[in-house]
Amino acid sequence: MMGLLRGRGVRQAACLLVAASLFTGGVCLRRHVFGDPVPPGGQELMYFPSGKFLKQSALGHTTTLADVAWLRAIQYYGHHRLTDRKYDMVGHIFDVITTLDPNFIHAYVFGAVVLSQDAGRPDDGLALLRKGMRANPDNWLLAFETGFIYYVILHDYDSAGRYFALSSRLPGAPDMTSRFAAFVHERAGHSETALELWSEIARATDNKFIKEMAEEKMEKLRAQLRKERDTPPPPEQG
Amino acid sequence: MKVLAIARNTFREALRDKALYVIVVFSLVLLVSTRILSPLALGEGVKITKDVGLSALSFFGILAIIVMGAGLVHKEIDRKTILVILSKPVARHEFILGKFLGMADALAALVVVMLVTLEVVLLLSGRGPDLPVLKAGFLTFVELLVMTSIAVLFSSFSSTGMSAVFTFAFYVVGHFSSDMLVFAARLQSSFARQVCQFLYYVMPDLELFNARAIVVHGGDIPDERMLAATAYGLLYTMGVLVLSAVIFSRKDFK
Repeated sequence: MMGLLRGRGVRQAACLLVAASLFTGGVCLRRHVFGDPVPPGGQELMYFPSGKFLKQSALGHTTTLADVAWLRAIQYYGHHRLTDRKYDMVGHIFDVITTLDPNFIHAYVFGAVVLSQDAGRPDDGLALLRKGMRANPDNWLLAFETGFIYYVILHDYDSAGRYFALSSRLPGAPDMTSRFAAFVHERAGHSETALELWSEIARATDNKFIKEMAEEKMEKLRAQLRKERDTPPPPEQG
Repeated sequence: MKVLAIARNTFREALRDKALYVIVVFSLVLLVSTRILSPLALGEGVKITKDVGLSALSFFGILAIIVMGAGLVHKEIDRKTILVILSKPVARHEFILGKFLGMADALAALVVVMLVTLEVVLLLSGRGPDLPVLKAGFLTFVELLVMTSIAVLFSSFSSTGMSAVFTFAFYVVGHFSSDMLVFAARLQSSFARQVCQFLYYVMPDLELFNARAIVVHGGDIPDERMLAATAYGLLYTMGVLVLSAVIFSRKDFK
């Protein structure tokens, strides 16, 4: 009996060994022939289906699909941030996320900041935020971010003031929204206000990419302010 | 009493089925794995945990119904055990009701295990206990009851494979039923329009039980919605069970 069991055990171990060898052989062959998957620059999200199509085919699991797209967007952004800094498909992926989950506020905010700041497409960033405000008219953060992009990137202070004021009137808005509305209306020095805005953004976010981006900007603005302070004022004429 | 005896037996049978354990283990692993994803989600870890937990509840629940519920009645007919049961003083509607209740018990156990795990995971993230998540889980359970009654209906007159296909088709169509009304409004033919409107009322509106989009963003489900969706689900379930009993009572086992 023991001999039979021992014989069966050896046979099973041999079978497992054969299975492991076949599996390893398959993996090696795949790596040798196809190589490891490397995302080609800017093409990897080209065939990502539209949000409308995904919404119809999600059978009620739209917010979960939005999470999958969110993780994909973070990967895409992180990869390009470290390599070529080209963000061609970022508008598409954030449009998909927000179509699947129209209440995903942080997706609008992050998408708009990346589009405006990194991709150099502030109009697309503002369009994304407007889409968010249509779906969430009571959300103060979306109006605040719109004012932020108008102020910091487009230097359109009238529109910025309008959106900061709108944000301060919405439910749950913190005091800083009315403070910024006042700053902009008083036409305070641009660099100081911009520095305050970026530090508020860095303080309020859980998103490490936005935090890093804000800290980078704050560093530049501080250097600019130091330079402005050190430069002597031009001599008065006459 | 006879109904409860059949229900108990069906529940025991479901627990003996390894498929249920596979489903439970797989869904729990999936749920716990969202904790690993959290650092990659840039502050959206809790949302992802709630989303995956509630979606898994619905998805694996429907999978359990398709794997086990679709053969609930037909398996007894196939194995001829139905003849032994019906030779005893058991009415056919009691048999249908017992089968449904047994499957509902098994699903309730699945839902409770998954919701408790989800709450523990949320508690570990510092965001639990979350009552709205429990409310959304309850609505998903009502959805599963509706789908179980549909599986029992198909199982009472068709083979296991066909019941599984029909049940899944109802699940798919149930999530599009409101689109059917929109589609009907665009149709030229009045006959086609009426067919679409008829289907809209006959098919279950499963989106009524879907409150995930509210709770994952920290919102609460209004009590009126909870009550209305539960009442709709129970009425629909009872209606389908009566229909199943009528079809089953006319079935000839010769």
